[in-house]
Amino acid sequence: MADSATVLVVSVLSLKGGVGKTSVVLGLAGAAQRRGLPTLVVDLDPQGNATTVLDPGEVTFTANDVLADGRAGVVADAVTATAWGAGVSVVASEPALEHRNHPRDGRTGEHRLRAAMKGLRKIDLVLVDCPPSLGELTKNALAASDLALVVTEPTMFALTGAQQALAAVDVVRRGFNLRLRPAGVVVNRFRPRSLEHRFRVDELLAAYRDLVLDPVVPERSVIAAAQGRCVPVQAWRSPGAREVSRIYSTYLDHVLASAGSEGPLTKGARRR
Amino acid sequence: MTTTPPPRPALRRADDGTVHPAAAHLSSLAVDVSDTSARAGRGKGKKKDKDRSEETVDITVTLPKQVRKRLRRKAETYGWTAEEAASHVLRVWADD
Repeated sequence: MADSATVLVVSVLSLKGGVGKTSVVLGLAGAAQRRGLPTLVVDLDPQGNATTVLDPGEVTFTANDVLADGRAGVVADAVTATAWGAGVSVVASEPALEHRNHPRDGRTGEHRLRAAMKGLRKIDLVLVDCPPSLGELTKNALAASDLALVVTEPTMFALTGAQQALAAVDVVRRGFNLRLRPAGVVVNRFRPRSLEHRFRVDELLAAYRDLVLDPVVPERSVIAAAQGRCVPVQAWRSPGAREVSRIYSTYLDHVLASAGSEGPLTKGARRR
Repeated sequence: MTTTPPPRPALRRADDGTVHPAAAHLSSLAVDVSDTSARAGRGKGKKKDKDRSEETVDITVTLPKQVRKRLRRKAETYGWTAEEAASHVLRVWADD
């Protein structure tokens, strides 16, 4: 691929914090790297955890600068190489991004990221790490995306956040981006011995059977260990890491397959 | 308390098939997406969306050339074709 006309943009979101959005973004990025799929992580979370783990060198132009600038194609100026090596680059976050989430002047610009990504080259997959709120940053991410991947933990609060995220996807799809479609719901940090977790997974399946991705991501300490060392979990050598890597590879297959089954409103000229 | 109470549901399904938070105070939380929030309030079932996306139909409309030109120009500012924009506008209007 590596042609701007075929870049697949996936937003990873939940409207609850701490459910593992960044872990899923990084897991997918690592899986894509293994496949030789040039991937760009756009870190729109002001906390910048994805940026921290990807450990880019000198960052001179951040996602905040991209959204402030807003010119067509300006994302290319912000693409920075990462310590993960060839195949995974990042548009870095910074805390000042938070100011873009709720503009003081009330002026909205949902299409700024979409315009900024115009003409993106040598990238096949863009993963957007969203903040846990439906402010301007998440709206920009969804308006620029082909697919939305919702992340949840098997807990009561997180399920509510997932439901709200899916509702937001529907709203943005109808309001700003007719191509946007939900790619699925990732259940993260599942503990099979927990009655509560099993109950919540069953509840999710009852509500969104077609969307819940199988298998779920089990709770594994290796995920945090890999992140703490700024390496992809795919590079870790342990049974847990191999298990999680296989699951992320499955998710990547699903995302790529979802992109290939576009709906009728996606026919015609591509937007970028 | 001598027994552990069962987990309470986090989600409920409405009569129209849409999924909502089970907690009443959360059900009233609107997904606020600027001027589209009013449209969002009218939730559409997943099945309906799926059905719509699986069926395509053609509709022919007559427009003055000048209007088409303006439509094309405006659509391009969003990165869309005029046909996509027209389809989008019609669908949103029909949804309402």
